[in-house]
Amino acid sequence: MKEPVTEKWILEGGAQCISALVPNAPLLCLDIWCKAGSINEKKGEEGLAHFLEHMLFKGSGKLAKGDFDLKIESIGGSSNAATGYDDVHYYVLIPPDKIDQGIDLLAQLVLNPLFDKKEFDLEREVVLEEIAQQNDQPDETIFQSLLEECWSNQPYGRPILGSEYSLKGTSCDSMKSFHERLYLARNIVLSIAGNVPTNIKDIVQNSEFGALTKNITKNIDTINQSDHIFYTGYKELKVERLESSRIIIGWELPPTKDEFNSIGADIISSLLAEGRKSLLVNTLVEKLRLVNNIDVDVTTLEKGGVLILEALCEEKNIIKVEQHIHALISDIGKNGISKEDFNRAKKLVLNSHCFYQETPRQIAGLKGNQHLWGRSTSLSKEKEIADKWTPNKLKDRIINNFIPENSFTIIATQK
Amino acid sequence: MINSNLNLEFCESTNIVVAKAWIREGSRSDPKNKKGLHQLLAASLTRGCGEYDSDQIADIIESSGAYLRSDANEDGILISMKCTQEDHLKLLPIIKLMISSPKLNKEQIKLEKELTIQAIKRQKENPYQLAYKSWKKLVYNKTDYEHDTLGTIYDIENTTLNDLECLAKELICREKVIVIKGGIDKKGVEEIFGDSNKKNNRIKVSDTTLQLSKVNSIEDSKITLETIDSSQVVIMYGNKSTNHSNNDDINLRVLSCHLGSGMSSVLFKRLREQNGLAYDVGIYNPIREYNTPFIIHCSTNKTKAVEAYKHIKDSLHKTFSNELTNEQLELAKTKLISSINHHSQTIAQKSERMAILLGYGMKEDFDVSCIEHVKSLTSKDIMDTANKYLDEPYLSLCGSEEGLQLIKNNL
Repeated sequence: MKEPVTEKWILEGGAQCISALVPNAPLLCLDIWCKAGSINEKKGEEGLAHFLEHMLFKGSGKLAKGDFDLKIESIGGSSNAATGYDDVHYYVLIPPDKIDQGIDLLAQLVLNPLFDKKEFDLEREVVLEEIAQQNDQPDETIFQSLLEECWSNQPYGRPILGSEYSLKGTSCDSMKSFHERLYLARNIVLSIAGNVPTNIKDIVQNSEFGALTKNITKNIDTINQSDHIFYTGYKELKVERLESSRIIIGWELPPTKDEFNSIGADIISSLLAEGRKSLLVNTLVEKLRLVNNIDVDVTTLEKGGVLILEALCEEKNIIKVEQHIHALISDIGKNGISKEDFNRAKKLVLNSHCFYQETPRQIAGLKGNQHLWGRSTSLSKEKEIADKWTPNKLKDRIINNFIPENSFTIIATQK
Repeated sequence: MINSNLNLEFCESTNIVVAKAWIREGSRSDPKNKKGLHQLLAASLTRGCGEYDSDQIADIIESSGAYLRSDANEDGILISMKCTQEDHLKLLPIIKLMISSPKLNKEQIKLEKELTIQAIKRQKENPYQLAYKSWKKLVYNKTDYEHDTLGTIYDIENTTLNDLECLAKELICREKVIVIKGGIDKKGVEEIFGDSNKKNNRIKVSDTTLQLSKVNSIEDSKITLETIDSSQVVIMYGNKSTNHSNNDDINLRVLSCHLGSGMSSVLFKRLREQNGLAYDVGIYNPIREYNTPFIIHCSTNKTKAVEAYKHIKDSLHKTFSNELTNEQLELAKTKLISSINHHSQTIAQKSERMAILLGYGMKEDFDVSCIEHVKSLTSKDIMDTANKYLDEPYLSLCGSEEGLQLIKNNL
């Protein structure tokens, strides 16, 4: 894959910028990333990071409610936002010749919000509906339960959306102070990908983004984040309307900044459950036919991640399936990983990274997030890292930790 | 363009290759008591073809870090492959074999049937799926788009190897389109697929003017209720519309942009921004060869469901009697035109769009002519089309008994 040429620079107030050139792309993506995820919420603020993401669309110093959406969509663009545990980002996808307008609008949206009490109360109703919708999905309920157990009483264990109780306890003032505390120039990256003009630095400097980030440089301490502890354990859960039982097992992973082990975890994930030749799918779905679906997902976060294995099966097979999963992983630990399986998994990982860097939105998102957290990964660097892994290293450093005692397991069956 | 079946495009800037093979006829052609047959066959195609068995196909694909999928929708079977430039000439022959020489193994079919049955059961976990299934049953009553692509548990259980073999033999004769884009070796690809064109008898199973039979006009019920234990009620409200090749479909897509596309749309503003009634609200108007659904959907707390339904109903019904203002019309047109750019960013998106267009018997440059048509539209055109297709909408509700009763009492 031909990697986009990137350029990085810092604005006067300390906000960082990164641009990635994708020639001939019909759309350009502007993506503001901010270290203001739910991990930064204090007691009583649970759900506020995400609720704030909603509220920023409800008007700013220069834009009336709905104006941002109208203006962006009138120029043939679209917008969206997402809140994570560590960070939040807001992006627009616009025709390249509308870049000046796009930056000004996005900067106004994110950095100069109005906090109208009436709008706050109304939007809280919308977030409560979002929570209710999520709670009606059995998969979401089980996933959230696992995170609550693995990171009990810690920020990563709390739902990003908060709860009905916590949201009803928040106020417009507390949201404003959350914004002032975290949406600071030094916490922000503007990522631009697409057919970026050559004078991009001047455009950004002279835009509202340049002007607004100059004024948000105060040195306010973020909250003291407590130690990050991963809890192990076992829990049985009864869930409404569950048609297939689930075995869901979480194992601790290192933080994202540990790029070597993060890529190792990706290779393990492929080795275990990507494709019919993967070890677990091949045995449990294809040969033994005990499992309907098995999936391994790697969630990497700044303070430490989790590898989640989820198997769907009939309730009567749960114990058998659980035993097989641990026996298979233990076998790999004892007998090692074949070169063939290792190469297959490595190639799937490297190709999927390459396949996911095609559009300006994907590239702006990836580059913006990496730059926000001081990483600078490229496809060639990822390949270099992956090439340092060997089947034995994977076995010794990762697989051997994947024992039942190191996991949190949830067995979910129908209520 | 090589011929009417094979569409190739070399893109210098990428080393990704995407192939999409579209074979006409999907679940709409499932036999009456074999619902799910096309999807079952589609899934089984990756489990054996030519000299390869399931294990060998998986081995070749996965060791190349590639992806291969095969699924059916209502109108056809779509085989998708994504790989790197270096592997494409090695992997593309598998697609050819899946179409020309499917190899159906009894044990593999048994497994695929079990997996399908479990997937059908899991659909019940999703309130949206339940509401949509009921809505389709009501609207496409006893016509070809009525049943879900996965079929029913009873029919899947009763599908035999022979049923699948008979259908598999038909694939080679069915109308098909193969679109391959990316860092391709054009000559090499032509060498692979050259034969497939000669073998293809190109029988035209149906033509694009064919209409599915209409919903029974004496159907007295326009409401369906599905009771489940949930906190929210899912509301689906709309009707079937028209063929993708019909200009009226474009008019309705402009209407869809006005009502439900983006945060400046009518439904988003009314239900979410102004009244805080729902998080998820929008329009489901997928691309289908024939009478595609046009559905307003939202999920909301049972205590707000009545109010939400009133807003949905009013928003739709206003379009029958009130023409859009110039500003509204221009905004909706801009949204539709820009959505073409938004949905053609990746090689996979471009390839699938081309395969669908050609597979429906439409022109390669349809989207260009679509833009011209959109530009010429008036508010009256939109209102007339809304009246023509949507004036008698069907309502599907899924939620707790209490929530459903509240709406029912307020209809």
